[in-house]
Amino acid sequence: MRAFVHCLLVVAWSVSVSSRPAIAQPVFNGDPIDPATHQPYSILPGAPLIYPGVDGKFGTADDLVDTNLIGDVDIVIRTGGTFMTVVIPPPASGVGAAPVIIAGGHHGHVGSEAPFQLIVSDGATMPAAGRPLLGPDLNARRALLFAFADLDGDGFIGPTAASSPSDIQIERQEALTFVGRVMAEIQNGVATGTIGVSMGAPASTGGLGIVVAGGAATGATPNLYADGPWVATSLPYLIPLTQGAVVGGENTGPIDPVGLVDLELSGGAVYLPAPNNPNFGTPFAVPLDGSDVTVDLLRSNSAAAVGASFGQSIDRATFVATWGTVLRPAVDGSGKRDLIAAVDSISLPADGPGNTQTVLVYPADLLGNPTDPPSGGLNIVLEASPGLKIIAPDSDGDPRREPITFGSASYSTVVLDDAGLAVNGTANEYLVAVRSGVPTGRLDVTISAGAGGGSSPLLGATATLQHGRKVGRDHLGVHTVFADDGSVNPATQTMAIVVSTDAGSVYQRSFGVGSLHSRKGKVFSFRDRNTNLFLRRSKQGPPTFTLDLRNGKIDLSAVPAGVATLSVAVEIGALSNQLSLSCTANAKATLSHCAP
Amino acid sequence: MAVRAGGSAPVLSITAAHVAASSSGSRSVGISGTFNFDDLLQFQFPAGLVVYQGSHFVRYDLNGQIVEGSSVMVADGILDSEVPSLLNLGSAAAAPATTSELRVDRITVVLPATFNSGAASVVLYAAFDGGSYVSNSVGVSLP
Repeated sequence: MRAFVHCLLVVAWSVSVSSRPAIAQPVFNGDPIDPATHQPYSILPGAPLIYPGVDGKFGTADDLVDTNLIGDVDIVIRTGGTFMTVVIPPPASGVGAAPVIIAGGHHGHVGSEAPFQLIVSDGATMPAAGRPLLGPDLNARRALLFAFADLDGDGFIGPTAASSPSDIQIERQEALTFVGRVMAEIQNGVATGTIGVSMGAPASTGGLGIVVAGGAATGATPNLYADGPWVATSLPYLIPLTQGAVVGGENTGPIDPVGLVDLELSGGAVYLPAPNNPNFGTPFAVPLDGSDVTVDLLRSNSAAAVGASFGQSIDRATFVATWGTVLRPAVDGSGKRDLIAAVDSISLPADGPGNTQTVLVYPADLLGNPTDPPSGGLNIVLEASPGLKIIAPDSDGDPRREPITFGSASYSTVVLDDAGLAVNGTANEYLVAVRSGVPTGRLDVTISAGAGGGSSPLLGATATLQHGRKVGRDHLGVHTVFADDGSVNPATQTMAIVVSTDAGSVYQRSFGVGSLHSRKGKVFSFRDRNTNLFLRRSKQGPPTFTLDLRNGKIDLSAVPAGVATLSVAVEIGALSNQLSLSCTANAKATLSHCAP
Repeated sequence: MAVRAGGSAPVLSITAAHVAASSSGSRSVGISGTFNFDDLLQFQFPAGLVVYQGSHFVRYDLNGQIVEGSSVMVADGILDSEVPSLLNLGSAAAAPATTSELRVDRITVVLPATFNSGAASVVLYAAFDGGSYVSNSVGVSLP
């Protein structure tokens, strides 16, 4: 971690606790003044003075730490509209007593918002939150509110003195994750508005504890008032002293704080030292038990389930908190809360059986939050693209699909592997969670180059690619023969055809169970506006299948002119067959014929 | 004109686009990129995703409204100046059109059955504070 501050100056630094603040703002009455800037120090409430020094960076040798100067209460936030005019009420006593919100805000009309009030305080120690300062002194100054989520449910935002080493990075991630942020304008000592949050937890688990915190500008120069120190509630770290390093904006015209937030803050700009600092302890962890009078709480429940989404377990030994990483409060198979990493993509090598990946699948709302399924359960079918296999669970003997029924918010564990097809370069595959025939959650899977394995060569194959005169009017023809090892049954199995070049996929199509019309179990066919397909069982000799595919409205513009090699793969049930073909083109490169 | 205390214009960009199909034939289009997710969480303004194929389009607003229609205006792409007109075109989209995933950097939508296989395009749009904005347009091949 960062170097500890070793320069601790008190009287020698000549800190002047002036009775006349440099800025005539009542909020700063009695606050210590920085002799270099003649401005009040920005000190978090209840925390000691930690000043970055001449280099402007926290955690370096020139930092000033003065544990005799403790920040007072300058602003407080209340949720639920509890502040009237005279007395600042206490915050919620815990998440269970906090206003309930549905995750999602305005997105898709799935969520809700909570009202907030940011109140300027005189910092008096009695009452604990001070007395409201309702004068015009900070009129038009903008306030920025943040919502943080107690992802691990330990009752704090950020690392505490009692955090175990394996938990510290998780708790740092809480501090680096805004689940909502919004601006508001102070008028007569109060800024009001509403805030939505993007994260929630299943209501059956008690929802997700949220802390609403924030800061405000106090400068003298409109419109941004950035020429003064910020004031803030408790925060899980120190933010840069310069307002422009926290939030940007334009400095012309009348201000409208309720707009797009030009957030400049990043993970590298905040100061979140390791807990138990020998000079100043652990001042930044924000509790969710109502004991911090400067912040308030919300309880965020996930919205209604729309389908399923994907995550992976976290290795706490190697996890490192980073700005933008998304962790989700999921529910494990035993009904306990389990923090997982949200994943949109994974990678697999094209090496056949082995080197699998395990993913967790859970009922999710529109924003991907784990949520409770509807009464009656949530029925999902996982469907894998042709280059991917679902190894486990396997209740139906079909590696390309797997039905899952969610009777609770608990996730299911799924093991994925490549389908054993050879890959040159990379192949883009996917796993989708299908609900009532409609894709919901999607996991992108990149298959990296490899020889594959586990697939048998087609007994024969030819292909033709013809470029038409109009885009989307090209023609693809494929003829293949593959052996029937006795396991093939087109009536009860999914089938997939993949045609690809070194540059990527030319065509890939899956045919679900029952999508092929059967004629006495000897000939199977499929037809739609673009595609004609016939699959014929051999009448005599070694058992084989012959497949003929025609697609007359395909877009081949991405296929290199005069392509030299083509790969054709057919998967049906557990059987996987592939063959590489050499292609020759006509003089105009409008027609390519490919054969072994 | 009031100036934003923060950013003054939506930031729209598409960095990647993917398509997927279920065995029943439903198709989804997903994009990765930026589209002021955090702001739209807090307050509404017209913003979302358009998938178009020739003159046929479907518009997925992030407030949940999904509209489908046809217009020669989209056949040659969508300019930012065309966004106000686009917002007034179309009617409720056919099944199974829906927005299936919304993340801070990703949107996935399900297409109505009225789209053909083949080439299509995707673009993000927004209308904010009197201005109109579109992202880069990305081509996809619908299965």
